[in-house]
Amino acid sequence: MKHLTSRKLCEFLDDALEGVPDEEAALHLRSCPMCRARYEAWTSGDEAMREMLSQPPEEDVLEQWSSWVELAVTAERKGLPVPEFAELRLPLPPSLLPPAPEVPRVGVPPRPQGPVRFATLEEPRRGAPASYVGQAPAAPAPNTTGGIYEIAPYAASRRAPTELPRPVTVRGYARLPDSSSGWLDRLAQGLGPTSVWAPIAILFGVLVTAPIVPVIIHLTQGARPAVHDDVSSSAGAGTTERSAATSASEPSVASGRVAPAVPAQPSPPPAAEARARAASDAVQGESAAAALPQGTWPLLCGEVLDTHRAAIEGARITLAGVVVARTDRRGRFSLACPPGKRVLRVEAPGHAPATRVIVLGSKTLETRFLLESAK
Amino acid sequence: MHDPPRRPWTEPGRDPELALAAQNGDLGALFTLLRKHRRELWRMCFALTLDRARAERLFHDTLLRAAKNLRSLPAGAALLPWLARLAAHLAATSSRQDATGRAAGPATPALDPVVAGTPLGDAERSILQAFSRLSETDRLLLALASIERLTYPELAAVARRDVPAVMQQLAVLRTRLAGEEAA
Repeated sequence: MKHLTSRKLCEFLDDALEGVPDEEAALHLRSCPMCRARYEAWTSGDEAMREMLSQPPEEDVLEQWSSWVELAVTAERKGLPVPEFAELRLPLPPSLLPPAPEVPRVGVPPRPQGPVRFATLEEPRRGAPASYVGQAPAAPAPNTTGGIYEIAPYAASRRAPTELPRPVTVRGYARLPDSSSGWLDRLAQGLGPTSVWAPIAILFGVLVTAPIVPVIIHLTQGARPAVHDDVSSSAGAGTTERSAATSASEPSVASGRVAPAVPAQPSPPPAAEARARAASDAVQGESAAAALPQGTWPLLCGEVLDTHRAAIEGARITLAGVVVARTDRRGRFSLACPPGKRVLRVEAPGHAPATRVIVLGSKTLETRFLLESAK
Repeated sequence: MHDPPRRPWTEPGRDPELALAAQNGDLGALFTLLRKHRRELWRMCFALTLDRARAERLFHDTLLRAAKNLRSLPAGAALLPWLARLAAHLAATSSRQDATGRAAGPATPALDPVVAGTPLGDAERSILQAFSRLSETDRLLLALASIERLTYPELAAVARRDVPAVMQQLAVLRTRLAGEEAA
């Protein structure tokens, strides 16, 4: 009996795959155990290869890989450094990834021990020292006194100057330094609201103690810490708009003037409130990033476009659940972020939100979102 | 709206149109083109490397190289065969570099013990080991026949060879894969 040649067997195998087997070869295979064994071995080999090698990765993993290629091509064409492949490798689908590390809200440091108060502070301008001193309690607390409040440092220098929102409101628990608890502050705390005792004190001062007023003033100034006159501090959210107008043109400062406590926070105008909220949102994420070593922070740049490749302005960029930036007129955003795996989410009115898991290394990373219209 | 081609390996579909736009600087067209065939390309990359991490890198390298050299895509041709040949070329180059590196350093890890999420049995491991000993061009041909199930004319077109040569080569490769050559 003449056996089937390898080529004939191969042809039969491939014809069989196509559904048109060679009848002559089929007859031979029925009667020849040796050729049948070869055929079965080849068939099982093909099936095993299909089984082992044809399974693609998850769709979202493929999407990540494609995104990286697009990022690299875009960066290359723009003359930007192309991020390392390893920085963006995502070997596991999101369902198998460990939860993204919780980014602490920077600017809201752990609540300190002792007298504290939730305070706000206007950032005078970009480049201000990392440590801010200001005051302006937003809400009274029973165990606090008026005085100078030290706000936890946060980084404001990693953003491009044109993209830094201003004014910037920093929120945080304020610690009352020892040097700021002057005797006048403690006296004011003990006497109660200013509206009650201030007229009496003024009357007393004018009528009875006028000759010694210069001495009191001298003593008062000597008991307080040194302050600068060019500070733009706010007495709460209600003065945000005023401070914003002045802060843009004022030099950087590191200290603030003492002001009496505000018993009730006035309602801010809507525009000021929205502005303050946006600025606060923008900084909270950034100040959260400050909890990690600043030297290792890469810049995360990107753009948000719609399906027609038109820029989307004002899209909210959220990192680990914290809004950290909004896109500008060109749909661009840029922010500093500690390295590591991050969940980046983009939301824009009228568009479907998009979420992407990125891994930030030590280099600048550029990414792009294409948002589809909301259905 | 165009329907996807029924035979993406040989029917160009919208590839020439997108390629032309991409060659004229349309990044959107380029990305659409590259995304269109990513599943097939991934399968080829995995078959060429038999290792998920290397397949990932090959996948990226192939797409990046394709984006750079798109002008060398023949006019009116389907992208996928060109991509597969590019991937095979890059895999061969990488293998040569690995072989050079192995002379001075430790050997690269053996066959991935887990393929597609399933531990390999003896039979599968034997097949994959035989497959891994083939050249990149031969792996591509065998993968196109066994995994993508291309016909002989399609294989010939993708491999840029004539049909009898493809048939003969496939027979030889399957003989090797079944271990008959050693026997």
